[in-house]
Amino acid sequence: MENLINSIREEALTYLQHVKTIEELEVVRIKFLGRNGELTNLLKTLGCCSIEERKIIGAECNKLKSYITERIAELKSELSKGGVSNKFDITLPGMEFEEGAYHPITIVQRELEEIFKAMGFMIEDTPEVETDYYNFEALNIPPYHPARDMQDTYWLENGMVLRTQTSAGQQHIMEKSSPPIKAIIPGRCFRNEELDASHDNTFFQLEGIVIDEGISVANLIYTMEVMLSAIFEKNVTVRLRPGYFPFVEPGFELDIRCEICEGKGCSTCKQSGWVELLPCGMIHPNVLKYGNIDSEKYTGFAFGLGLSRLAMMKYKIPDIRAFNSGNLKILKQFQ
Amino acid sequence: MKLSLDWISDYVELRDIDLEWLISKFTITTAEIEGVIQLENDVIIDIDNKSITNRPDLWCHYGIAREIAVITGRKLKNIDFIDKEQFMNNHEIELDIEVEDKTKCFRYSAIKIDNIRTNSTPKTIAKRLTSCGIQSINIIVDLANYVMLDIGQPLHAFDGNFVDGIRVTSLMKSEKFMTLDKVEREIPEGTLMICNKTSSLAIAGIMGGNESAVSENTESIILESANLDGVAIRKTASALGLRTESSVRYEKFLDSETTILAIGRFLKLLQQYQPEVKIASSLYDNILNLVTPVNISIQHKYIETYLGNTIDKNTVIDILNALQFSVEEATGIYNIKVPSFRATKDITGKADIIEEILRVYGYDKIRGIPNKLVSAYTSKNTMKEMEYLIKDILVQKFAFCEVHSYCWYDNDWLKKLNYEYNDTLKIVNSDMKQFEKLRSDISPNLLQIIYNNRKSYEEIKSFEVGRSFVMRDGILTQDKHLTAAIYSNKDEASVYSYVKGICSYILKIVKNIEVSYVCVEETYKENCLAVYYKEQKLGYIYSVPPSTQRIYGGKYIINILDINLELLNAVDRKEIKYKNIPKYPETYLDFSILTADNVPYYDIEAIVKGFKHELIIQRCYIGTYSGENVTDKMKSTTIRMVIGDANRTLQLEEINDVKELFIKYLEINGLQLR
Repeated sequence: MENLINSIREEALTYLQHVKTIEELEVVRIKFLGRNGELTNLLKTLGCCSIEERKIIGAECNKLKSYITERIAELKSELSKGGVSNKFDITLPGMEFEEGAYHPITIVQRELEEIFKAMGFMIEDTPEVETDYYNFEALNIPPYHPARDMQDTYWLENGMVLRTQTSAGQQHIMEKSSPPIKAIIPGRCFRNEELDASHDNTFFQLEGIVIDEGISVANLIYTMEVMLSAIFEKNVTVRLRPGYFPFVEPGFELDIRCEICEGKGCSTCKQSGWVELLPCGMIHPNVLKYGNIDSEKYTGFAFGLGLSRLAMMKYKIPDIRAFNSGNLKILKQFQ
Repeated sequence: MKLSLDWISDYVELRDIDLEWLISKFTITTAEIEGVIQLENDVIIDIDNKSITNRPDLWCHYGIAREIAVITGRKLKNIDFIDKEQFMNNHEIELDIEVEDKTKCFRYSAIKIDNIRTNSTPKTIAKRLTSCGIQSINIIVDLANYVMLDIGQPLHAFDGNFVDGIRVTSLMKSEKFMTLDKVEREIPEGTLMICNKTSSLAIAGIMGGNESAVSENTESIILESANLDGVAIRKTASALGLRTESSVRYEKFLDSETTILAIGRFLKLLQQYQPEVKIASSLYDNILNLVTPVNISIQHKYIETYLGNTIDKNTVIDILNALQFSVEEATGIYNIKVPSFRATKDITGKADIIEEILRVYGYDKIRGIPNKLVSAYTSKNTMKEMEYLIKDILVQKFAFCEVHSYCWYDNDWLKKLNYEYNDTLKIVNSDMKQFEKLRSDISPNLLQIIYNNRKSYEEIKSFEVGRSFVMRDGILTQDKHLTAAIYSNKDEASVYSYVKGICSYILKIVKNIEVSYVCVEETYKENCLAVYYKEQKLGYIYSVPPSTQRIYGGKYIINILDINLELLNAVDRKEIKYKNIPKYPETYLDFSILTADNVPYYDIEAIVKGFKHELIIQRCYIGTYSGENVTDKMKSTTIRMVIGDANRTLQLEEINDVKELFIKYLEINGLQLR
């Protein structure tokens, strides 16, 4: 039935497009809307459909009928006037304006910031060149800790580093504010690694921290679900599994159910049904201590979103290096 | 780390298990599995090393079996080893060993074994090693490696003939040393070494030496089983660029209780294949620093608060017991004793205990709960808002394209530009020297982007908001800048005026301020204006120098706008002042002032501004003209004066008065009207 409506719709559109005279227009009217017209006949057959079907198809038919009727009336007045009748040609294209473009990261970052603002988070921006203290030590990664291997670090000649993670901003926030703290730190991070389609040495992350009395794992799970549902604009199913990051305890890897196969297993999720999305966890008591926050009284959670990765997912950009390519043919697409 | 399922089954029966279920269960309770390889009679499981960095106890088959026993509820079998009673004190020969560095060596155990043959390794052992990525060498080396993969304790066997006494010591000065992979290495001062009376035998915890390595002629070995300082091993391994199976385990801090067990296990396996071997010394066992016992007290209520959900007391106790933590519970407080294999820097506090309970209990059992309402005010990030406003203006009003460039310079590009920056901070470990200097100015990177895109566009308008890194007198600043560039083949003056207009517009919209522009001379900046608000220099507007312009073919003009956003953000936004709409008409007086054509408008404006009169409401620039009716080498600059009074309509005489006074004023200042 639906197919039938579609084919009538297409046929009608073609006819209406090619009509040149009032006489032809009348032929078209009779063909579709006349007493034995195609659409009229279709409406007559509705009687044999179920009530449910009748509702849907009837509505479709009526929509098509009123469209055809309206177009016939418009064409009739146009054909009777014959050609351009205004003082100037209103059918010429409108004036073209030059378009600028935002960097795709800016678009995604801003959307995320809006979501977090709505959830009561402060937006913070902390330095890109960091001391060892902020990037490692205050995150419970002392010198020669094996976890330093988890990130290939760019070391600078003055002993500082290009931050390897936006988590480096955590202490800055604890220094300038006291609980309750609810903040995100979006920004650039750097890792000294080989480049390929999914790795660039410069990329964006978004760190989030929440610290208050009685903050629990249950709060973390809730916040992640709400936030991810807002980001993906639909309810997402998440799961936590253990993940090791020295600055959280317990530490988790948060996976979302694979969108592509709906959890059945496909090549995107490596047959597991889950896609690794973000690391998170309860802030390690040592980290709170570094921030002069009483870890007996306060607890908190932290999470890190891969901003560049989210932007790649959103726009289906296959190569992360596009972001820093400076290639205007790519970047001008993001108006 | 690769593990053999067959091998794990020595300790917990898994041959009948649903592998898919196990992998998924292990992933959500313990660690990430990177891959599963099906072999003929075995399955190799590859665990992501990063996810067990904090779990030295999991770096062996027994440890993984112990973990799987907990999560599957299956029985954990015992390790088959020779009890230390059988080799402890039953030999008259004592080994000549001295631990000199007592800070880096926590425990040193060793024993001499004679009458061995270094024939090839039994197939089962060799096969298991190979499946786990370790090459089979000979039975002694292989069994040492086998025990390491089996129970996690690295062992090293020295050829007994080459050992005249052992000293565990840190090098007083650096030396050259050939390791058993036949590479001569420069060992830095302070490295913990295992030494003979006069020469070195091994880099402790990392790799043995070539000379004392077990060979086909070896008949006697000294078997070392040590516990060492993880930080020291890690420092050496990274200094030498030599990470071995042994060093990756040591650097995580191992359980010092295992050294003797490892010797017993080695002997058990060796005797199985060579019953004729003889223990040729008493056990040497020097304990300097055992793992400190960890005891943790935690309230049940604390656990529930941390989880945000309730949990049954018996569940807590059962889980902890299964993990071999001993627990005593009284009045809602658990007193917990952590087993030594988890007390190696892994479990240190309450949060760690909660993680153990939670991961076995199951994260999926925790229901999400919103945190309690906090009505704290979230302060605005004014800098962020300003950044977005500027981006909106540039993109939407002026059709600029936002770009990101890397935060370093491309040295090859700087060379092409013939630019040199001395205020940069360098990366010391970049693989590419070309990109070692952090950018102290964003503009060269924008110029490069323009260069790379120039063939596709007639005009390019791009900008970046990002940090630049300036080192001056040892002090680093990393301020955010807006750097915008326009590349155009239009008329030079109008392109410049466009950029200057954008600058004024942005500052007006963002801070409601009028800035002043001052001509300055700066390196690599032509036609340079500094942008001032009061005494604060906010940035620059300039053209690229002709030498740079030539790189682009000369026909195109490139102008840059650079604003320091930190400084701009510090400027208070000027309040909008409401003005009553004039009730009485205002009068426009236009004056065309004639000057030589090289007199800058700035000078003319200064004079005009100097004319004060109570009726003047506003002065503005209308235009400049030269050509017909204006003498050669002269120009005519038209300015407009708006005059009026809020309370009345001006009389014609009053208007003429202002006019005449102004003309006189101009004459005094050496200017005349056209």
